[in-house]
Order: sequence, then C-alpha cells, then structure tokens
Amino acid sequence: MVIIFITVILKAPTKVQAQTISLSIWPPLLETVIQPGKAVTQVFRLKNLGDDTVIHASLVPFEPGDAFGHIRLGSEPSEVSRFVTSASAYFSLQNADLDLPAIIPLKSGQTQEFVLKIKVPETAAEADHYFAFLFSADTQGLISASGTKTLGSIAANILLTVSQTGELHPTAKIEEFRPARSNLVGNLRGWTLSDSFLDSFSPINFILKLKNTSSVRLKAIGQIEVTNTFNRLVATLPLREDNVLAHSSRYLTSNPWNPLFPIGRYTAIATITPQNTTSQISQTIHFYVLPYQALLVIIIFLTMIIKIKHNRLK
Amino acid sequence: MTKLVIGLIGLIGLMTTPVFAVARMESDSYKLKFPNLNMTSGSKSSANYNILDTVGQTAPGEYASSGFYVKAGFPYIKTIIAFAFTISDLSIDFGTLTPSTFSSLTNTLTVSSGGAGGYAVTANEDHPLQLQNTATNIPDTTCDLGTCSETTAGVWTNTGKYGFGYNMSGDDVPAAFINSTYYKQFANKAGLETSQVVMQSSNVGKNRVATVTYKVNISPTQSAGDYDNSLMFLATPTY
Repeated sequence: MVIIFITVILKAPTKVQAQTISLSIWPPLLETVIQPGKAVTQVFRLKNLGDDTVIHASLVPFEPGDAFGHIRLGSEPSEVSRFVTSASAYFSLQNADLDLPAIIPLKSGQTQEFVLKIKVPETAAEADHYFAFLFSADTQGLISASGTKTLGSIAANILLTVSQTGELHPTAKIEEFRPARSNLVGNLRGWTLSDSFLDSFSPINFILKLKNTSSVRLKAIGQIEVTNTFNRLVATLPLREDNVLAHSSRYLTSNPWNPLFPIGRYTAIATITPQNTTSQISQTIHFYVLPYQALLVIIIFLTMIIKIKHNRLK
Repeated sequence: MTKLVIGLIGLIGLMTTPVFAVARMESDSYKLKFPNLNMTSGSKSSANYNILDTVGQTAPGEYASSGFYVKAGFPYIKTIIAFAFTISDLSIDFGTLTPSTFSSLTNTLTVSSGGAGGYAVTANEDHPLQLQNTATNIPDTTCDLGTCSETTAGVWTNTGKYGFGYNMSGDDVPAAFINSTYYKQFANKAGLETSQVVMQSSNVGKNRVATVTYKVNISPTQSAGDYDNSLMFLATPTY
C-alpha cells in the first residue's frame, strides 16, 4: 500500500516549465591599477539559477554608452574598428581546464569560478583599458512553427589602468549643476531670472554632471552643501563615489534634499575632489524656494470668493 | 494500517522539513550574520598604495601587493548581492500565423543589481523573422504611421499594418513605451543597427521586472512557411 502511495506521488504530473536563463555574477565591477610587468588575479563567480546551459565566456572591450555609467560593448557591428585593442592579450584564465574565450557546460544550480589573471607586459604603455567579462548562455527556446528564440548574456565590468607609479592625476570640470526641478524659471516684468524657483512642498534633487578631462579614469568624491538665506549650512548631501572614465562625462548621484518647509533664497555648492588627488573642483548656484503652488491655490480661492461676493452685490 | 500512517507521516516530514544549511550560523558563544568567511578584509595601505578588496574574492574588501591595487565590487554599496539577470521563457512560439491578425506573446526580464550601482539591458535580433533557409522576411514593423524604428516607438493597432515588433512595460523601461499600444522594432544586427536599451536604471535595485510583448502580423500575400529569428538580451552593470 505504501509503495503504491509513493509511486502515485512520484508519478503525479508535474508542472511543465518554460526554459529559462538565469545567471548571476560576482563581482560586478573590478577596478585595478597595475604596473607594467606585474600581474593580478581575481575570481569571478558565475551561478546558473536557470536551466542547464553552456556558457561562453569572453573579454570584450567597452566604452561609455551614455552619461549614466552604462556601457557600450565593442562587439556592436558599427563600433568594431574603434574597440579593437591589444590589451585583450593581458587577460587569461588560471583555471586548469579553461582558456579565453572559454566554453563550459553549467548545470542548473551550479556555480563556476573563473580565475582571471591580468598580466601587463613590461613594455606596455600607460593607458586605461575598459573590458566587459561577458558570459553568454546558449540555452535556446524551442519553437514549433513561426517564432523567436531568445538568448541571454550577463557581464561584469573591468576597469584596468596601466601606470608606472600608481599615482594618477585625473583632471575634471563640472559641466552641469542645477536643481532637478525647475518649475518656474523665466521672465517677470522684463527681468530675466537666472535662478530657479522651486516649491516648498517637494523634495529637491540636484543635477550634477562631471566631465573627466584627462586620459585616466577618476572616482568622484565630494558633496553638495546647501546654505539658507542667512548663510547657515542646512544640508550636506554626499555624492555616490561613481567612476568617470577617461574623456567622458557622467551624472553624479546624491540623495534628495527633504527640508521641512524651506522658504527663501538658498545657495548650493558642489565640491568634488577626484580620489587620490588634492585638486578640488566646485561650483555654486542659487535658487529660491517658495510655497508657490499653495499660494496659487489660495489666490484662486480668494479670487473666486471675491467674484461670488461681487455677483451677489449686483 | 499503522505502518501506512507512520510511512505517510515520515514522507510528509521529509517533504516539508525546512533545510537550514548555511543561512544561520550561531551557538551560545558566537553568531555569524553572514556565513561568508573571508581570509582578510578591511582597509589596508602601504607606502605607495591604498587597497580595497577581499582575499577570498567573494565580497568587497581589500588586498595589497607591490605594483598594483585592486578593488572588487562597489565599496560604497554595503552588500554582497550578485548582479543577476533572468529571462522567464526563451521560446516565443507564435505557431501558425494568420494574415491580418495580431499574434502576441510575452516573457519577462528580471534584474537584480543590488551589488552594482545600476544596470542596463540591451536587445537585438540576428535578423528580421525569416522564412527558414530563404531570404524571405516578415519585415520589422513601422507601426500605424510608418514612423517607428528600433529607436522610435509608435502606436501599432491597425491590423492592416504588417511586421514584427515589441512593447515593454514594468520596471525601468524606456519612457517611449507610453502604453501597451506603443511598439518598436528590434535592432537588426544583420543591418548593422546598434543594440537598444530595453531596461535601465542608475540606481541599486532588486528584482526589477519588465514584461516584453512580442507582436507579429503578416499580410495575406506573405509566403507560406515557418519564420524565425533569435533575440539577444544582454544585462550589464554600470561602472
């Protein structure tokens, strides 16, 4: 009886599941500064959380895709010629059974460690090299007639700087700095107002874009300080320590400012010191914070009352 | 009968007992919040370099050596969550297509960038839907007004307009997909078009989910047969 029961359970129909790709990678970012002639190794851990698959691992150069830290791979057809770099030869795998590019089966739930060695030759010139460690799963969907098979890939980014001294001297400038919400900017009786007008009842964000004017990447360290009408410091908003690649721009991120009913003229100062440097970059802006939306409602309300009273008097 | 009951209870017990493997490690004298032991970690420096990494390589931390320094992970993000990407269903099987009738299917993309600053997912197709072993295509849609492309979305509700396209909805999708009637073409790799972003964020996120709706419509004069192509979705963290 027990045997029959167990058999029934084991033979019970199981839910048919669609084929999936699910990959995770750690670390997502590797930053290294290395002298010519030296080598470093780093383990990348790839886990397959989907169906059994075969992984194709390769190093692909990239460049900034936009000003938000996204990348554009060199494998894009129109970009091939721009991305070809001899630095690909710096990379190899220390796994006994793998070479780059590597092809390896990965079962569901299995984790594979890729021991990546970066060896820079003695003769290598000082330069930045940006690569994506790309893992493509070749699990393909099955279609019975007309349809589309989807494939998936995941990547980790590698920022490699070749430097003789390890002392980097990045330079930068602030390209843009302003409040993110500028609801009321314009002319008032012929006067052009250069400052922004913001509402007292909304959180205030800042747009801050940094341009790296050097040939070496930098990490932006700094903050935005806000002072009120009486020159009293009312907020310090640390910037996220994002990388800005050589000769590129990036919008930097800070927490929003959530003051309790601010009103008046405010000053914001963005100060950035690229990591490992002493050179400080700063920019100052002024803006007004007023409860103008609430004032607008009150004005409309009062106008309506006056109009109603005026009509009654008639 | 008694044996049956005991057997059943045992079986149920085996099926329902939770497994505590490494999620909790504690006793009266110790408690480890993260069962991930690194050989060393923390800030280190020498006369020449400041280092931030972890020996053991499984978490952000520090290690030093003469002639280089390394940072693994995002030191300002206090997490060891890996960067993860999932496609729910790899088979977009339209079956037999009917002329002047929309066929739509969906799957989902899920991204966790808890250990990275942000992410982007890009997509392209190897070529338009193609009759197997021929050069006959179902063209990529240009939508109702003939204006949409791989970079521009447009409304596509007219069954008199033929082609293949996609819509995105959910977390972190491009603003161009104003609602479920807006479609784009996939970037055509064979046509040297650049892959297009289908999800992106500059912030840390966990289990960000977007739905891709694939839609195809053929003209009555379309050659009979099975049409197919391949789509590549690539998830990359920000730097």
